[in-house]
Amino acid sequence: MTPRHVLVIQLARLGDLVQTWPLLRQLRRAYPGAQLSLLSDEKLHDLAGFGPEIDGLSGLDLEKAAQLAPGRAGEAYNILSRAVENLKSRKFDIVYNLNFSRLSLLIAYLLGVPVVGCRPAAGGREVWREPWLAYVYGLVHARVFNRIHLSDMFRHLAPPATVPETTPPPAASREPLIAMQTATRHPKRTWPLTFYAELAGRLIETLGARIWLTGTAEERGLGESLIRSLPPSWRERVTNLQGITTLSELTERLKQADLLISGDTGTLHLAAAMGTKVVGIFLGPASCFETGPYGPEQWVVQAEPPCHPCAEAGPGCPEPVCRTMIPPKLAAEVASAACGQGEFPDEKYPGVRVYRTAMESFGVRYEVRAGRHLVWADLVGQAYRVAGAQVLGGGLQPLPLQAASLSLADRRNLQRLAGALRNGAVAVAPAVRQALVPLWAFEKTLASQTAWKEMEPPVQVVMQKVKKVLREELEKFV
Amino acid sequence: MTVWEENLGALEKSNPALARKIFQAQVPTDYRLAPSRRGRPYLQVGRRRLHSPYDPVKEGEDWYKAQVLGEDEPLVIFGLGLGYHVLPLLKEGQQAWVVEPSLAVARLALETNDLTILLVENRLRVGQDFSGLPRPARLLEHGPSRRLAPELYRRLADFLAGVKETLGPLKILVVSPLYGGSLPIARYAARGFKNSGHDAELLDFSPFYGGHQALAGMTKDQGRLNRFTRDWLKFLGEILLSKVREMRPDLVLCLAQAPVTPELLGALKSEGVLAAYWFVEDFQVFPYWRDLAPQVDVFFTLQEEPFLEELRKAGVKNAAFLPLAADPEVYRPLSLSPEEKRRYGAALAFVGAGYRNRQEFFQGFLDLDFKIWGSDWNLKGPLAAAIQNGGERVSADQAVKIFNASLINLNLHSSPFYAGINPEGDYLNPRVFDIAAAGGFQLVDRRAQLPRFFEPEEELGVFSSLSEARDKIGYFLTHGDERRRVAAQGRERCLREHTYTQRMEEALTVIAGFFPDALPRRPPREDALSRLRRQFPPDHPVQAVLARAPEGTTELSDLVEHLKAGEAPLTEPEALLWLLHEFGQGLERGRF
Repeated sequence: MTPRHVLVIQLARLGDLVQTWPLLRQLRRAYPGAQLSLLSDEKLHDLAGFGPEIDGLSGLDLEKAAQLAPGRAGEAYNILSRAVENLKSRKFDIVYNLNFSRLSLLIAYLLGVPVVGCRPAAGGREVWREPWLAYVYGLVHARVFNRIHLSDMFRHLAPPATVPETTPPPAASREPLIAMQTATRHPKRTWPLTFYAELAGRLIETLGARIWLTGTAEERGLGESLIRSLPPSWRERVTNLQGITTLSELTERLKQADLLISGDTGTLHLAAAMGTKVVGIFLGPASCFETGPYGPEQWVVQAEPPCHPCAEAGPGCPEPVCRTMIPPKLAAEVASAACGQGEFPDEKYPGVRVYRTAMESFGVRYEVRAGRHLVWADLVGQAYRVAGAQVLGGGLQPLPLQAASLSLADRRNLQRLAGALRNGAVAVAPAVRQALVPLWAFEKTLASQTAWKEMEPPVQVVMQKVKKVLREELEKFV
Repeated sequence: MTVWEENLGALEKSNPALARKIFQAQVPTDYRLAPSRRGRPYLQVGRRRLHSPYDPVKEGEDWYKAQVLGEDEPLVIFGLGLGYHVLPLLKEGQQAWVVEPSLAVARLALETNDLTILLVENRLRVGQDFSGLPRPARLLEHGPSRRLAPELYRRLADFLAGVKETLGPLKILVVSPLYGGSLPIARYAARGFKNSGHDAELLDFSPFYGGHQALAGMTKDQGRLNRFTRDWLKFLGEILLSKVREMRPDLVLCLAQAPVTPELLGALKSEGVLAAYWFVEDFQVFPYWRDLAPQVDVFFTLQEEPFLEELRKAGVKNAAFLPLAADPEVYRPLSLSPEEKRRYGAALAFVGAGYRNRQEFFQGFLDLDFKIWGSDWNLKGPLAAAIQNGGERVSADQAVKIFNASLINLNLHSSPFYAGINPEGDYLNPRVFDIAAAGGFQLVDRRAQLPRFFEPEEELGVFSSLSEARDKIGYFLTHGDERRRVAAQGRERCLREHTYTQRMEEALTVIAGFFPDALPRRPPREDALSRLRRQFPPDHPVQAVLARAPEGTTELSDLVEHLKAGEAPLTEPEALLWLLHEFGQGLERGRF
């Protein structure tokens, strides 16, 4: 049955909301006649005019309800109850619940209509993940192998639909206008300010760039000190917009800019969604395969020490080597290349890779443009990507990887892994074991979920198919 | 006549006590009056402006116009500021009372604007005094004043709404000295308040002791040293003031030797808090009470007459007797290892400093198994053999062990004037209570107050002379059962009547007696579920969910645990209550 009214619940922050836009577009294409509504944090409603067209935008003032909750629970209850009644009155046929959070689960449950994504089970007490979500969730247990982008994870919850050709971002003007986001939400994924300062200097010097610094009011000091560190004659090339733009003003500015250079931030996703060229500086817990810029011909410079990607939560890193692995010189060269000016670097920096994106029907793909050749993690990741397409029904086929020349150790591990998938061995070398973790986590989730709802086809059948595809994919490289 | 004199004259007639307080109020240095662009002054407290720096008069008029007022409804305005917003309302003939949190602000207002219409009718209240306010009444707020004193605003709102009240829970700040005997008492007092459910905090100045000592070595020039010391005290006073502004306590209790000057105590009162001082010293030995006592709202003493009479003569109205006590969390029976028993045990022990009367009296016990613990003893004198640990100070932890390990704990009150026992001694030292609480057997010199606290020979042993002390030592060393019985009874009595928890409750009762309306009466703390029950009509579906909650469920989190364990699909009110809980959690985590 084709739904007449679809609600998407996305209560997370800016970056996640923007990364949900591909899903909204796909729903439009899959259900051309249906109305499409979105429930999101009221603070982000400023963005409504910039994303895909929405028929109904509902907000939840998360902070207000939360502030009332402890002391004036009666009032807060009534606010929530009215919000739910209001949503119910819109008569949705289907709800897409994207967040693995109790909050959105309960809201989805209260609406009392079929749910896609994180489904309520056990009378509203538990989350039942779609097998596709359970699969990506399994990959999160060994993120080094995850090659499925968040936007694609969301997008594939909708029925398949032809994705129109996306156009690459336009070429930069002379004296390009380059926006720079100097902070991220977490220090572990933030490139040093002094590096941003040096990068700004290089861009002004080599490209004659004008620089806009973006960020929040709290980050304004960063921009000020960046400007102070530049020679006086360059300072007028830099404008500090930190803390003085609204969300919609920021979006307008990002549209105007030729290029944004940023860590893994909401600003980066917003710029990419506006079709602006992006150079992502990814390090620490940030992995571009999961949350890099979405769309064709975007760039990422990623620091990949053996511990990458690390966990964002937990104590600070005792040896944050990745912070300084990406030299400003490399970032400047990639930025020049992204602006269509200057030669692409052939100098190699240990542990650092430069990627450029391409789009395929399965989703965004990150192609190595500089840095070390393909390794074990890339191949296992690719195998999981292909097997993921199988979980979705097999209609989509990710493109194969470029030819890889593997090291002897990697080749041996691949053989062992393929062997383990064939005979079900568990006692294997640690590296191989780690590559099996996503599979085990996937199986465990599916098995535990059957307590609330039987699965069709049964778990064993799904697992056998996934293992077979994984093995076949790995054997291609051996 | 100036505005100030006219205002004060009007208030003098209607409320002389308040007029006097305002007259004596000191304005802290960070309360700044400055001319606005339009000329009339505006007031800034710290970094907060109470009025528009552009045109406070117009701002006040606008404030009045913005209020939607009913007919003949009595009004109470929270916050006087400089009075700009109050004046338009009074001029319209509205019946309004004003509650101003700060004496200093009230003083500045009286210096700035003609408020005689308000003052002649005695409609200004300052600080926690809500006496005579109409109830029920409509409460209007001057926003900047409310932000400076949100707690008082809430209390006033409850008062006007007639919310059922009990005394407290109070916010209490206990101020410690830098060092010395009253330092642990400050800690115990703060804990005592907390045990009674008050929100008490200790402002612990002891970490500053090192700095205090270092000052003395910094210069040989006495004039300079005096100036340093003055500045140092002022600096510590600033810390106290800023703590008070941060915490906004209902009561500040300073212990003897706390680094407070009479000026600072005055400034404290200007902040609108009640200031009490506990003088745990001998008034004849330490005369500094003369300067401090007149500056506080309540002055507690360890001695009664003639000290209380002296205080009255010095113009101190609110003085009261408040004896010491024990903290049973520190002083308690211990099971000691054989090594500890050997090290800390003796037939006879004394813990304390080597005052002269003790140095002399204790020579009479040198033939016994006698250990002396503590500092300020003459290590080369006749007692040298009995002095333990080279005359080092004794920590509370060590003292408890000594009280537990020794068969007889000697206690002799210090006296700088008498050799041996002071026949006129009245108050009891901390050791009386500490030994009792630790369950040790105590032999103490006869004191005038003693029988009111412990029954001699039943709850502790008492002596009036060396020979009596020696007789009793002999008796109790040979009668172990009797010794243990007396010690146990002493401990029981101490726990029953002489803990710091009880003592601090007594102090609050005394304060409430002196200032019936000063200590806030807050509604008893209500658990989350009772509050929810109250917030919904009886037939609301939420009531059914709450009624099904297991007995003893008081918090939303408990209710959610109960819901998690259920099997039937969640009902809508159940899911909404759970959702509500998630919101609260999200706020605590800072994300959803």
